[in-house]
Amino acid sequence: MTERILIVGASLAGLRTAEALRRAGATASITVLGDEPHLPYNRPPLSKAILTGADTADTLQFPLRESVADVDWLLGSAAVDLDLDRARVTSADGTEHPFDQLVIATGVRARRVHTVAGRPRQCVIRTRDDVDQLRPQLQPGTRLVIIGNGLIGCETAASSRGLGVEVTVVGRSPLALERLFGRELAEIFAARHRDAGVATITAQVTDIVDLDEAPVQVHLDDGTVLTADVVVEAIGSEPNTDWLHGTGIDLRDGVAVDAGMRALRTDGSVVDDVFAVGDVASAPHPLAHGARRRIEHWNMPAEHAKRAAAVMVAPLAERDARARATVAPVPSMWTDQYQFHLLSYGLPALGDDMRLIESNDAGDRVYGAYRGDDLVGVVGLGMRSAVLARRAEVLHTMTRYGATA
Amino acid sequence: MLEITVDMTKCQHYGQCVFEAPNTFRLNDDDKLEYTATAVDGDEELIAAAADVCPMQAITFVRV
Repeated sequence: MTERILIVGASLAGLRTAEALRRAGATASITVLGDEPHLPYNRPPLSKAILTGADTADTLQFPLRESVADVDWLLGSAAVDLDLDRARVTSADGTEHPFDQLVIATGVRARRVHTVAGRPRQCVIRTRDDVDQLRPQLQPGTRLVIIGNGLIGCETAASSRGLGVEVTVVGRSPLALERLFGRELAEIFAARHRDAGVATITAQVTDIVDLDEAPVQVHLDDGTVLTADVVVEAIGSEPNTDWLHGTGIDLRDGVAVDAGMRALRTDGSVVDDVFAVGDVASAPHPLAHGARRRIEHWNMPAEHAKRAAAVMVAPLAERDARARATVAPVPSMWTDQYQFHLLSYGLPALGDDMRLIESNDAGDRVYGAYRGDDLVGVVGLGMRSAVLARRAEVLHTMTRYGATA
Repeated sequence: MLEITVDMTKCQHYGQCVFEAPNTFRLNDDDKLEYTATAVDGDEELIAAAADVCPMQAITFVRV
């Protein structure tokens, strides 16, 4: 009998899991443990509308529906240890939290290689506190160096230019976003950044010198030294799994789970009553032919949550059957930079050929990412209906791959 | 009855809501979001799902 469900991570994934459990008929008590002091909030606007000041951070909190009114939120205390034998999680303040079922939803943190946490001028963008640290420093004329030309780096560049900030982006790949969107769309974005006055440098950072009373110096491997008032490091993420070390769970890339979102040990066996959802979960996906991968797209946690809840409420004997069905959400992502609003489905990076599907005189265009003749992703600048229509085709590819996985 | 509001200053017409509640939300010929501002109580789950998947979190609704 499941009496106590503990969800670690007061995030979108944690919230959606609590909701899905109630919808699936779970009657157990639900406790959510979160390291941040905030109730679950929406992260994507942090590098967009929050940075530009179009919105304030207090608008980010997700609505708490009636179904989760009885959930107990324990905020501002990170999980530091999991004891599987005793079925307890210990939080940073030393409190032990016993559970009958555990959901790991601890997500990811911004990766730091060159910057150091706690230094005011060395920022990342992942949490509200991160943006609270950065936002006041972005004034007209501020010299901002962004390390990393991925999605967060590019969005931060666009948002900061809108504030009159002098922006330099240092990236390892010569063309930002090419892997995600393909060459032609990436070139359109690159031209827009150039027109907006963003300086881009293809190089690697070797060192950051941050002495009080002097501007920050960012040293590059080509010998260049950039002078900055503030630095943002945006070089990807790392799963928050430190607290799970020593449990026998497969932590090679986040938390390995099966299609029922059940945690797996390094020998591939299922850990009964321990589940993982959201950015931290490495689940089998049909587009990868059933291989496990973490997909940090915003729509995935809700889909993970539904699947986890369906398995969690089933009797132990029936869970294998429920976990066998392929979980096949179509990954979706978007980005807003300047007046560009791009929407994507599937995993375009898995394609080997990016083909133009449709375009119009307004400069809108839709590309399909193909692997052979299979559409594995679609990316569209404008032309929403055309993009939405192609989603079904990506789903079709997934269904066929799933059937053969 | 449900009263639905989409904050059109936030909406970027991504159309995710259309998949969840096609009777309430649709993209018009110009790919702009259009919606019916009221729905029956029985549709609450669909409307809530549409609000949940909105990337801009621009959809709100109240029971009236």
